[in-house]
Amino acid sequence: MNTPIHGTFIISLSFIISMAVSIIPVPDTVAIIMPSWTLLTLMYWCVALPQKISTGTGWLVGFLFDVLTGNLLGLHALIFATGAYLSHRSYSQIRNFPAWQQAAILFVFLLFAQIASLWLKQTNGQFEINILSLTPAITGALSWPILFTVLRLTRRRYHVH
Amino acid sequence: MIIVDYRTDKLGYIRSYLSPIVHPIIKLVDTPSQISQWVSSLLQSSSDILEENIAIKRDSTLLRAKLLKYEALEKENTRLRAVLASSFELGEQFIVASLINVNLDPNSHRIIADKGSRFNLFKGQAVINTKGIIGQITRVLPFSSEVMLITDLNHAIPIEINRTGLRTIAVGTGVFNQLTLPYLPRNTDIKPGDLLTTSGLGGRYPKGYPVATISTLSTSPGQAFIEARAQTAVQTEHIHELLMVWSDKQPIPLIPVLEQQPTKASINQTETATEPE
Repeated sequence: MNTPIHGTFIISLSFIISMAVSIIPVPDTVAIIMPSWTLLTLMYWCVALPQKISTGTGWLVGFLFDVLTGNLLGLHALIFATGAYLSHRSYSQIRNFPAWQQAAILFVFLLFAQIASLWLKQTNGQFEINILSLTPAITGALSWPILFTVLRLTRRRYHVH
Repeated sequence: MIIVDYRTDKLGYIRSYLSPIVHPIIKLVDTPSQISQWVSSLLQSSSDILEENIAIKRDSTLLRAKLLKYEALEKENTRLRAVLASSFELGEQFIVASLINVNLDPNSHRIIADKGSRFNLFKGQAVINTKGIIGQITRVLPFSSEVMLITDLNHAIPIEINRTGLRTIAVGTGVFNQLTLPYLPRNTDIKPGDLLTTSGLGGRYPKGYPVATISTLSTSPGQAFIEARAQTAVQTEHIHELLMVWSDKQPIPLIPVLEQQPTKASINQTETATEPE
């Protein structure tokens, strides 16, 4: 089996699934607090395979995400690239932290990404921003340990290097 | 890049090239609801279907009978309009699309329809269903199109109060199935239950389709305008089928050229004749 291609396939599959999960029709109240699964997945790969996934991949994934959700082209590209850059920069530290500490650091990153995304979206069209708009950062941080475990098991199971 | 996309339409082609890549994801998410629909249609008993069939036939007969009268009325209306020398929407054509069940962005009210530029849909096209106005197309991709609902915060629709004929604008609230009418002076003749229909001004929406009914009115002292809320005719959660409208707006000939219903050719003739004016 051709390992690099195989690994790329698993990684892209995880991104596709995360994008699909982000657009699943759920009630509006749930949709508001849903974390950005794609960004979390991206951050995981940045931490797990820093030699393979970094800012460029983040930009590409974000760009596709923009096309998918019909947002301004480049909006999520910018945010995902920033998120990827942040987690890529500190991957050696994040890796050694216990899960709750990882979640805490990720919370800061996600909060930053969320504020940036709200601010950029606001330029495109008005909508209400309240404290609830920041909950995706919290739910994202809370779901990080689960996602981390699932993706790590997947990575080990399929030997993605 | 963000600025370019925000200011111009230049990146549209990148979007339409890339959309087939992500379209399978949208389809994938939509599959469960499609399957559930399919299964529920399989599980319908034959007696139910028979009953439904009878009901549909009855409805169809009734509607046809009504349509006979409607056609006569339409002809009469066209004649009268011709006398008044005002333009009139000759007719509308529809294409049926169905909703793709995805949730793009909780902050905006947009839905995805399963037909796109391959069916000659265009940006700004009105989208309705059997109950009333749903919204307008904001983006057309090869395989799908994005429809902004009238309840989106960035959407406003020119309307007319059916009872009084007063024209105003209804603005989306960002709350599902709710519109607000911000420009009503305090002495406006309006009451809860009034039907709002499209006024046809602005050229986006065809005239005369129901939009909403007034639900609450509140006048607070010191405010120059009435705070009016309206419930949309179409309940967002019940949308399955969408109708995209092509309205054919052509001027009626000033003098009825033929005694019969003006044909397309005669209209074109008069159009070219009146153009130099």
